[in-house]
Amino acid sequence: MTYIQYLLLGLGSGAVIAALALGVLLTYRASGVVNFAHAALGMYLAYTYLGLRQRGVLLIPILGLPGSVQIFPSDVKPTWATALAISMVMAALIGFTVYWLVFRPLRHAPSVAKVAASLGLFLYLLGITNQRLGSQGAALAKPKPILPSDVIDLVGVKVPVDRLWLLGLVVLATIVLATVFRFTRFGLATRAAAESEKGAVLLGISPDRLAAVNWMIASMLAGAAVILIAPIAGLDPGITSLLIVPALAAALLGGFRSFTLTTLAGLGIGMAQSEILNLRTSFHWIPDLDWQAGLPLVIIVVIMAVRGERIPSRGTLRESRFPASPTPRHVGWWAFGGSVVVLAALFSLDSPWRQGLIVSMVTALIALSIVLLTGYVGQISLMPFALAGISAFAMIKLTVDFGVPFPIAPILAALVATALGLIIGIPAVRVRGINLAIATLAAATAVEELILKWSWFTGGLAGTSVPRPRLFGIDLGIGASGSDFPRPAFGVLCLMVLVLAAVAVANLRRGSTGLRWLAVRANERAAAAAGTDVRRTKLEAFALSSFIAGLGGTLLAYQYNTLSVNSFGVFASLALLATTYLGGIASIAGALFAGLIADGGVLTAALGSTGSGATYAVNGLALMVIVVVYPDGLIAGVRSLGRRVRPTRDRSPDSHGARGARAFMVAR
Amino acid sequence: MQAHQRPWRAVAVTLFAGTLIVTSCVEKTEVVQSPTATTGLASQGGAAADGSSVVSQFAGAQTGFGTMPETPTAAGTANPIVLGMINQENTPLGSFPELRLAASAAVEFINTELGGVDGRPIQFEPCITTFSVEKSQACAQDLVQKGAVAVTGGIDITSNGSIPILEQNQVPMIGGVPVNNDEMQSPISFQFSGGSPGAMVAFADYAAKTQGAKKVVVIYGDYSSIKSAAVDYGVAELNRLGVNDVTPIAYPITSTDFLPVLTRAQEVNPDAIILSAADAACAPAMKTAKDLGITATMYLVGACAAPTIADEIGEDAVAGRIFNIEGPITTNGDNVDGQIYAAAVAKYGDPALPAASAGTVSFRSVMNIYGLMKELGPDNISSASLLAALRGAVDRPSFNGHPYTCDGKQVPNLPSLCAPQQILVVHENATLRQLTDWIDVPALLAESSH
Repeated sequence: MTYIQYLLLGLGSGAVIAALALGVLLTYRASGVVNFAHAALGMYLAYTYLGLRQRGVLLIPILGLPGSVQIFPSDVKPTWATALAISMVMAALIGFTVYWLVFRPLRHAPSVAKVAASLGLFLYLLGITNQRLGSQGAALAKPKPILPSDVIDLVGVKVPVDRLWLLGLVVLATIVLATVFRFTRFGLATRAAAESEKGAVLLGISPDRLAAVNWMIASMLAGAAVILIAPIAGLDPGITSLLIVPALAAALLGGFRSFTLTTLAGLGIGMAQSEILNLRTSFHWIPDLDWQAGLPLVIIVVIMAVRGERIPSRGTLRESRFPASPTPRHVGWWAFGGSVVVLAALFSLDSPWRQGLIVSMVTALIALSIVLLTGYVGQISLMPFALAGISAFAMIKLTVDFGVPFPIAPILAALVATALGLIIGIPAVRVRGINLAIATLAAATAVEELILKWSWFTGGLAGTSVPRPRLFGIDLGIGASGSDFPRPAFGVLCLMVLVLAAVAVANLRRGSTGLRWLAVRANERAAAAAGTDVRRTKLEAFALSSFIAGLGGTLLAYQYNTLSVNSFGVFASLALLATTYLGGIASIAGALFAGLIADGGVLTAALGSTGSGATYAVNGLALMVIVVVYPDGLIAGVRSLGRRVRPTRDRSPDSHGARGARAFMVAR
Repeated sequence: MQAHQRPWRAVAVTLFAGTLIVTSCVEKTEVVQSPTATTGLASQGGAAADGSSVVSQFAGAQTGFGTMPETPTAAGTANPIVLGMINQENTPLGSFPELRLAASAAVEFINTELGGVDGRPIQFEPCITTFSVEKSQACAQDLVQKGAVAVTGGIDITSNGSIPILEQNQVPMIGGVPVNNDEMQSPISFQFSGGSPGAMVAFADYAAKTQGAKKVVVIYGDYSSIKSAAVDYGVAELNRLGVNDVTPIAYPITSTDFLPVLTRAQEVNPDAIILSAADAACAPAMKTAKDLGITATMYLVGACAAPTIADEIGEDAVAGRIFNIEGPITTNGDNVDGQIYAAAVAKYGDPALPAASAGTVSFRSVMNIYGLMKELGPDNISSASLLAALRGAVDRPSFNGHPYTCDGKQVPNLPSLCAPQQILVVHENATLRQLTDWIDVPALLAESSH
């Protein structure tokens, strides 16, 4: 079979990606939101369709209400058309509700707020789906496919016609969307609102209503896409939701502007994956890695690095301001006081609390890397756990294979993460905002597939045992039996690393470096005009952030005892970004908050280890509510409440950092 | 000013049209609630939903945990034996509550009707982990703190958090669904299953010897333990049996279409295709194979035998496919354990628990632990005594499964797999027919090591 034939075989896979990418693009063009929950929404709607087809029930997506209502008599099963129509109505209702209640209030919020809210929606949809499916899980029966499944011969290749139908429908949807956006008043109005909200309002266009309608259409597209692709791609709450990664990559290649280019990109990714499969099985010298999943993403990151500024961003959509970044004060006292409290806790509390404290400190350290890069410099990176993973495995390699002792091994390993962070940070010099978020998401997935699955590096199936850290004969390892676990000595190590990193970041933030960070975050062009080397500032931040994430990875390695790739997946990075945002992404307190509420952290120790069936849904809901109500994070919200209750003189004239940044630019 | 009004009108018309379709397009059909199957298959026969005791139905019967008593007896309340469980639930990447619900039903059955362990009740302490190493670690530590003498699985994809803690405290991890290397290799882990490696070896053996396959394609999801099972056990066993024309094909677990994979497989013109895939891939893979007219015999994991999948893709897409199971089919009344399981789940199980599901695995695990505890006696139950009993277990009866031997040599490099034997079934005439008796996987692997 020829290479061209394998490219053709990838059209079905590409159509699946393109079908989802179109909805992602529509949502973005209508409201400036990159909806990470788009595939999850489609997944929920596909299960809604299944519930109707199989049992005549309608799943209710609202937490606290009954899981479903019987809308057809028990002996009546709706046809596929009826079930599809009802699912589309649900899609429209969900799309409208989500936009009106969550994303409309965030329309002028910074990109990272929208990312956090869409992650909240992602968690909510997964949680509610798992709760509604109950113990039946993914094994729930699926009805017969809608599309016909005859096989035809196409250029010597047997192709089931459902792929061609799907391809045709995707092409049709692309043409319709492109036509509507080019020639109809609705489309032109949406484009106008995207280009200039103010201008649109002056012309009498309501951007909110347009966005709401587009959200409804995008939700219907998501539902229809997943319902149609389920027989081809399978349906599973987790796996289906993660199809957002290639869909985002396609939208990114389409420049988040062109429906046609997005569809072509989706088809291209599918075709590339098919061809890679062919090459991988034809040439045995190709290293045995997951090239199908990883290589297209590497290509995307490279294209972004090369194309850079040519990729249009929705820069014209006004972003009001980034979350407040209070200047750290009394750093020494906070560090000393906090250390005393934690030390007292480590040596006095019982095992679960010590364990919770250690998990919280390590998570806070990795979250600190997010605060630095995203909170202070405005670069949304979705790969802290990928860097932590690289560092963790590098540390073990250095220790076991090369005999490098503690603490040199973890420091060198963190430098390996730094080097990788710098390489991936190169696109950051040329792109910004949500484009960078997606580029780092693609990079993180590529790292996971191509480096963390490299058996030489990670030990393959056997995993890797982690040597105990020892310094001057003192055992700093975590392991002990019974209630002696975890050993306080390891907690002290974590505390030292966290305090050193936090103090260093706080001092940098207070100094001229911090002002440069905030200047770049506020307005890159203005910062450049004021003489700031934006490129250098960004790369410095990437390097430092990667180093901190790398240090966190080495502590994770010591904490886990045995490492596996599962610990460093993309989803962990997404969840940590969201929880850091909850606390306050532009303050060190936000990182500490993310640590406290981390899975297995202090909050887990306080609440016990059993979770309710709705944990994820509740977390997702809380995230969306907090992002909307306190866009600067919970801690800033509490401070603000405190000021309202007890109005006193403003002791923090530089509380948002913006004035300092402006002063910095003026001074330059 | 009207630009934004038209879409609203269009949407309203669409919604109204949709509602009309809803009210007009329904067809009268029977709603069939199909049971699902993941690893074991059992009928729902013998259910004691009428309130009569399970013991009275099977009084005196020989079971996998010993002889069923003549009359039901409740356990006391003093001096409970703590049995922990770690199970992954409520996460985006897999939720398996059925395993916990079935284990809980087993414990309730033991405490309510079997008199506990000679009067001592079993205190069941489930801990839910959420695809988080930290949470698994916290679960293990919490169970150690609660004085659990043993911990049962569950599925825990992040077991690299929990197993080291249990190792450190010498608390045995007994049973569950082994999905990772940690629970397949740890010296304190004992699994009444062959996991994916057991299935791959059984498929290879049947394909090579009984089917006489000369060319085989092995397709696997690109996930470390699945890949190892396919390559290190499936392909290796085929090669040992003289089948050297083997083509391994990996696909990403987030693959969106099996067409290129199966086209590549078809190009080889194989006699057999062995597919190691997760649940979500079963239906698309079998349907695509049917669409392509692939005539090679296809071997798939037991999860793909779920009746719901045949409902979805049609009988003709499933007909002739061969699946592995780890317990006999419960249709002819010979399988007492299967009937006890169904009766106990009907009486003590959560209403949401399907009778036939992966719950059979955790129910089996608890009953096997119970059998061990009975043998040790109520005053001699500890982590150490359980570890010793398990390490000395040779051909011990297993509830609704193959007898187990935990000498660490059943599967090379995976010492925790105590019962890797498999039964193969074939889908024929809308039902599953048992194709083989127990396939002795350890014997096959022992031959290959010589």
